[in-house]
Amino acid sequence: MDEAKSAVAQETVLKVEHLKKFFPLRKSPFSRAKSFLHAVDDLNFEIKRGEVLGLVGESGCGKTTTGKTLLRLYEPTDGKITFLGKDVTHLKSAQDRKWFHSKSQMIFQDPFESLNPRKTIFDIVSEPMNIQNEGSLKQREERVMEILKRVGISPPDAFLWRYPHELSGGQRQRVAIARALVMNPQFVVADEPTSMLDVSIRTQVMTLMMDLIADMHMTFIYITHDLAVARYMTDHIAVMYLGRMVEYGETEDVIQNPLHPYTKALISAVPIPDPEFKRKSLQIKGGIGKAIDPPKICRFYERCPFATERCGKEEPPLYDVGNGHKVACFLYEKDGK
Amino acid sequence: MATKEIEGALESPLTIKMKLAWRSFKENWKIFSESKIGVLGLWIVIIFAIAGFIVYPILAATVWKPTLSGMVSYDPVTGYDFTQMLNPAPPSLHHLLGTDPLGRDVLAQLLYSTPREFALGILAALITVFIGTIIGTVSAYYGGAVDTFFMRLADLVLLFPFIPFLIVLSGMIQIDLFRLALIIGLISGFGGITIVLRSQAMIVKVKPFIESAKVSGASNPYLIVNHIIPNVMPLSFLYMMFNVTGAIFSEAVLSFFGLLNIKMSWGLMIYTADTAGYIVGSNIGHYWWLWLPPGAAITLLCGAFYFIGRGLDEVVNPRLRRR
Repeated sequence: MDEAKSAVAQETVLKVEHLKKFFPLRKSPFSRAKSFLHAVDDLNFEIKRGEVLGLVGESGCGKTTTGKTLLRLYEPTDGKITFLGKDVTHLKSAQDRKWFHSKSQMIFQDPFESLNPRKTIFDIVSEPMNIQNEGSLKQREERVMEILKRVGISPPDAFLWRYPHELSGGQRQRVAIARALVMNPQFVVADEPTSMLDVSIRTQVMTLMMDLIADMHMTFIYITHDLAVARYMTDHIAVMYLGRMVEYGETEDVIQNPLHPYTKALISAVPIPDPEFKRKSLQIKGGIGKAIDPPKICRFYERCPFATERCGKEEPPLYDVGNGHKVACFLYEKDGK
Repeated sequence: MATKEIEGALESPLTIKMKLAWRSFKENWKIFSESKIGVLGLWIVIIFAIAGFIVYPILAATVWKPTLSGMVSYDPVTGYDFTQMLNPAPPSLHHLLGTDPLGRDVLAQLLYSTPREFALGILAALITVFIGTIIGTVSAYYGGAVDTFFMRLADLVLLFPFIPFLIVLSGMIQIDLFRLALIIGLISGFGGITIVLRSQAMIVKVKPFIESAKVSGASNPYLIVNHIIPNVMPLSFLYMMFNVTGAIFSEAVLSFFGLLNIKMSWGLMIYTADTAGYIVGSNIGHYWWLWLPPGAAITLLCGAFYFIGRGLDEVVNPRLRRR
């Protein structure tokens, strides 16, 4: 698989610079917003073709908002998104919108809610082609049959005219994947696509996605809170905490050698099926706060066991500790460049 | 993959869509037929429809054909029966439900009015549902100022003194059946139905399948037409049934006050009996055939559409089902 990857030109598909998304909090619809929820705050990363980036963090840390902002379901407050060399931060012209939306897709968490109950499987899967006015009806049917077969719904013609409620959870998620891939997108955001599935089907669906990513040379953002899933699926991991990226690096690197106290705590919370296993567990205090008008200090300051006075005064930048491993913590200031 | 093999397996989408529609109709019919009240309503409506659309034309062409008796022709709906000595006459073999003070056959009037009541009720309800569905989904989808405007308008319409308004209006313009259907449809279309359909559309609006279509680049009208309206449609259809009842009822009230410019209707029959003084005091029991048939017809038809609505309610809201 590594050979196949290196064969593809290491082209940067998506580049995100200083991406911010703030939600205004208003008391009444007519008053001006006095405070803002900093859902995504100053995110920087880039993904190359065929790469999978995992966005990891606990709920409410801005993973899904990041995904939706990248797909322009939300208008970014600030920052720049470059997709295949084109600035797509503010898709102004209809032509640009059409181009971007035909090349990007999303797979949703809940396969029970993400398929319209009043549409047949054919209508659902062919919808992107329908919206983009792609191909004749015959071509659409052929393409839908082909992609359904590819995602493991077989025989496809037996499912084409069924409704979502006649399918099982795993089948539904396969249909949702088929819908996302029917237009051969370059960039796909998968928002916890396996978290609503039975454990028995989870691996099947994950393996299917891995195969499809390798086959179609897609750039993938995989949003998850499950580090085991992230380790299985992703090449790079970005750990988020309260809207900020606290650690970024190659997946194995981050999981074997976590640097940020928050990442350490996350990894120490993963259960190991070995009663003899002794691990230094890292206890952190309190629960996740709210990123409403946060002060310019380390967001993890109040919960961090290593917090120093400086952490409560300044905001740590991302220090590169080598091999592309970045961490936003003053503890690594000396190692960082 | 061989394309021929796929093409052979494909049926034309239109025939499949028809089959699917038929299948879902059968499924929904099964649920509907389990509700006794809905089936009862349907039967009453069918009986009225047969009476109005089939029985009346046959009888009008045969028994009630305007005949020359002596010098004058007799039309059972409008004319005076000179062969009858005293009018109003109680039910007899010649006039099954008797005659009214003007010598007109009560049964003929009753049957003559039936198709018109249907047309009025269904036209008004169609207009109401059409407006209500569009306004409800649009204001739910766009929100903000559009939403505020239409919802406050709906509040106003809900508080609107409907019958007094029509009374005033009838003084200014001639209200016939078509105009009445238009007015009822327009006014109630902006009222309560928009609030109900808006709340349903709000539920659909936040579903991930809407976001999924947005990711594919769907425009706002596409989302409303293809995703939101199909999901509120069953509820619109249900409210259509309740609106038929409302329209027929309003028509009866207005004709009872003699405010409509129409040839004959159930309300008008009661109006005629009332103005001639046959529903006053002890007369009410004595001349029962003047008010009971039209009164019962109004009650039954209004009730029947309401019952159908209740039956459909069980199809639309699975929570109401007893299974």
